[in-house]
Amino acid sequence: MKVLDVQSLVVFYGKINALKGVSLSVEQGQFVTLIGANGAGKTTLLNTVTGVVEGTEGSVRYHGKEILNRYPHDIVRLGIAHVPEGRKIFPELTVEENMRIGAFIMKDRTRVQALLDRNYELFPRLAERRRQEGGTLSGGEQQMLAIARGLMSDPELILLDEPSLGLAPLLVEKIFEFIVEINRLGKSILLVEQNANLALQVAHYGYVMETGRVVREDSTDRLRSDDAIKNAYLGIG
Amino acid sequence: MLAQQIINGITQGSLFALLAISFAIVYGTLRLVNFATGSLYMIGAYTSFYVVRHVSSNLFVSLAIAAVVGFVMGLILERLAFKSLRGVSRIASLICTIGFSLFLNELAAVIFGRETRVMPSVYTGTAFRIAGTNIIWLQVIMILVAGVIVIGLQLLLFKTKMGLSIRAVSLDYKTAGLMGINVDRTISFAFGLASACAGVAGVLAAFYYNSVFPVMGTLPGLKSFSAAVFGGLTSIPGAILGGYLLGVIENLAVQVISSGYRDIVGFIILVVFLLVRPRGLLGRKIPM
Repeated sequence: MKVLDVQSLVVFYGKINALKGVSLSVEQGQFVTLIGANGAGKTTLLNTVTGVVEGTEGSVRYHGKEILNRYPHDIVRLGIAHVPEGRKIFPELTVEENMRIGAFIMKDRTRVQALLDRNYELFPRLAERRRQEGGTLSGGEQQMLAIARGLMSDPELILLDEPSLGLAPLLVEKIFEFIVEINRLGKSILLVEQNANLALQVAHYGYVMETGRVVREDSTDRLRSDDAIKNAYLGIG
Repeated sequence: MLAQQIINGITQGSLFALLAISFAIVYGTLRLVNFATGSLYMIGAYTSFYVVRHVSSNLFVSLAIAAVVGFVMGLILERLAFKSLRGVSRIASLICTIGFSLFLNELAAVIFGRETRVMPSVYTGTAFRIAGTNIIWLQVIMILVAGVIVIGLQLLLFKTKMGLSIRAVSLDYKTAGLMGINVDRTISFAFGLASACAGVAGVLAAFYYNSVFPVMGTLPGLKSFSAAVFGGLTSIPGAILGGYLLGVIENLAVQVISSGYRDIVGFIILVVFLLVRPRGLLGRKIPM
């Protein structure tokens, strides 16, 4: 069953055609990655799905329901969490306030507390720093916080935008372990990454974007062994 | 005499503080200096003038009604003037606030007349004496009202979900939207809150100075903008500090220099702080 189904999506920034008819889908429980060079339109795609950017044509369906061009604050209520590029944690709010704001849509306090406990268990590092301001965390911790904050809305689908950005290789691996774990817990994932090597190792299915178009899609096993992909994205071959 | 001027300064400082808070809330959430703040103060004052005439001469009735009127005026202003300009150049919104200020002042002159209306004197009895100076009840009430509002605002901002969303929107409204916060509604609410503060200040001023007139908000508005810059435009504690300091400094200047130079004090502070320490006493650095 398709959780997310994007069809022929077209996006313009003024006169610049950022997406030229992109189609992509995420199945229930699937871990999908979207790779491609800087400026290919990966972030734009995520932003259009969550209503941050307006789409001109095409459709975005969530469980079969059209959600294109709805407000970001409505999208998260449907069960889609967007962990934005550059983490975008609230630097002057404490770790716990950042987490709580991730659960903003929840009315039930006991449920929020349960989610808080569960996510602190998943990220013990954050539990230790719950009273600290978000801005004082290291880059890796901030990325963990951004992901944990996304999980606080108890989403079904998580959109992750470049979680490896600016992190040391060891930390990147750690973050990816978390993402795999989250997927194992039953969340569907759409991961946008420039670190194609790692992304194609952990995801089930991959899309490759170039200048506003999807140019390849396949299982990650096959993409990894494809010579063209190796040459262009994996730096081996 | 000195004690008297300090007491006057603190009382007047309460008005500046409330207006400076109004500037700080709007600036914090919208990165916009709302130069119509003084006009909202004037509207608060006129509200009390009519409430006293037709409803009740009780100061607190005026305060409650003016707070509601201010809140609603803020919502209307935000919807009409600023929402459509959000995301456009910031200078356009800024000019729009100046335009609205002039418009509201003129509208008031047309509706209410240009002449100064007289307010009744209330709570003029002496509350207590400090260093040979009488402090009247009205002064005590003004300081208390400002204090209650300040504490109430801090509780709202730091203990409630609405407060958390206001703080999140003021830090990063795009990400706040991704969290499920209705950014438009949060900004409207903050704007309403700020306008209610200005309205309350207007009521207190109307009773304190016993007069109401259409351009009464212009000078206090500009001065408390100085106070807000003084304290740090993004900080509510800073706005309070700036407001009271300005009130006291201004009244001491009257004592030391001459009453003719009273109005210049605030603007000297403004210029000095913009030159030397633009983030003010307690303000944070914010990315423009």
